[in-house]
Amino acid sequence: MTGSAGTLARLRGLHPGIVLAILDIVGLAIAAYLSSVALTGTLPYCGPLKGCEEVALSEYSRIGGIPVAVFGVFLSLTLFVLAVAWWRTSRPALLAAHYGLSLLGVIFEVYFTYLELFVIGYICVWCAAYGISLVARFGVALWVWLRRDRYSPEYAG
Amino acid sequence: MTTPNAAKTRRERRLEERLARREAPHPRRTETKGRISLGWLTLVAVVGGLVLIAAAVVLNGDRNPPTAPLTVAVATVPADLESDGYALGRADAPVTIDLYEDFQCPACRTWGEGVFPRLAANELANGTARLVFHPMAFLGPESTTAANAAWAAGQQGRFWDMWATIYANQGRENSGALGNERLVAMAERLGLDLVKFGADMDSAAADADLSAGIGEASAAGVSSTPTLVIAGQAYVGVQPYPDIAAAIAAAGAAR
Repeated sequence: MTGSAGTLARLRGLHPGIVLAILDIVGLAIAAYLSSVALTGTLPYCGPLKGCEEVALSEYSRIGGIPVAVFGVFLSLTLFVLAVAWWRTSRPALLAAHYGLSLLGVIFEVYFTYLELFVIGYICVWCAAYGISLVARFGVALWVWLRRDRYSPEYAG
Repeated sequence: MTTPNAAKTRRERRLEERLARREAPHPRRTETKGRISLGWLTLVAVVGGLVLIAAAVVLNGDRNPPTAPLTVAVATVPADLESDGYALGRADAPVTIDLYEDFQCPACRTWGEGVFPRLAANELANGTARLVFHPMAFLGPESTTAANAAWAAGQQGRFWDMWATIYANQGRENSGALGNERLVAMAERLGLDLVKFGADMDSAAADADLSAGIGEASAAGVSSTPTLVIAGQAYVGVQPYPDIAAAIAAAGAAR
């Protein structure tokens, strides 16, 4: 009881930059896995769920011949660097860049989900997980941005 | 009672106050100076996202719009390879590979261009395996017309050439790339008897054959394309040729 309360208190005390960095690592891991299977010509493991193969094999899984997941790797890597840099320096421009880039990713994710639902006809659970991580990153970045005076001394006072 | 000295002082004080106000930064300007506006940032991100989507649409453009000139392809198989309708390879080959495809499936085209030529040149040519095609049509009306056209070409002994030609002309799903007129034009370019081709393509037998193919896929538990079934084991998607060759070798050894 005391232990879980302590964990909760520790979590509450976490700097949001760390929360963003953790979410960025989750997204990076998913995108890296999907990129590795796409670049080696194999298919993502979907378990009992259906749809990963169909989405991975569709023409929409690549842009200009490059797997979409590779772009996800670069986006997550950039967001991770921004999150850590903001955590260490509290420079608002870094948080702003994280907010803007994650929103850009969310917009593309909305388009890709539309393709999955209405064009390809299947939902890839890995892509959905990446999308959820992006929405979470955007949400946290927005939440922090609205309370940025608390984290950025430049704005305090 | 005010003295000139006191009035001057007041004037001086007002002047000082005015100067001080002029020099002091504007409160609203102080508030926004150096700040990044959430609204502008959101707008820039939204525009960036839309540009990215537009770029994706342009870069993934239709490689075969319905107006594109037709490409005629001949299946890349050794000249003396036995062919019987949907079957390719020796009838007494120890291993049968069941191939389930939808003509509008881009991955099927990839399989046909990448894996099929090596399979035909090796396992099918040396008599180790026989390939049997099973039509599926779950991507829309042009999947059905293409399957019927391929079956009709098979009635003139040219199924595999039509199979290769259809994939060479595959475009976006149900865009007209595999519409009736273009399929007839493909048959013409392949030198088929067009009267017979047209009659076969529109026949009840063509529909019955497609229904049978879909039924076979369902019975085999196949739900996506391309799927290869070798000795009861399904290989879904574009599996690398060495994996397929190893599966054929294992199935042959197990006999």
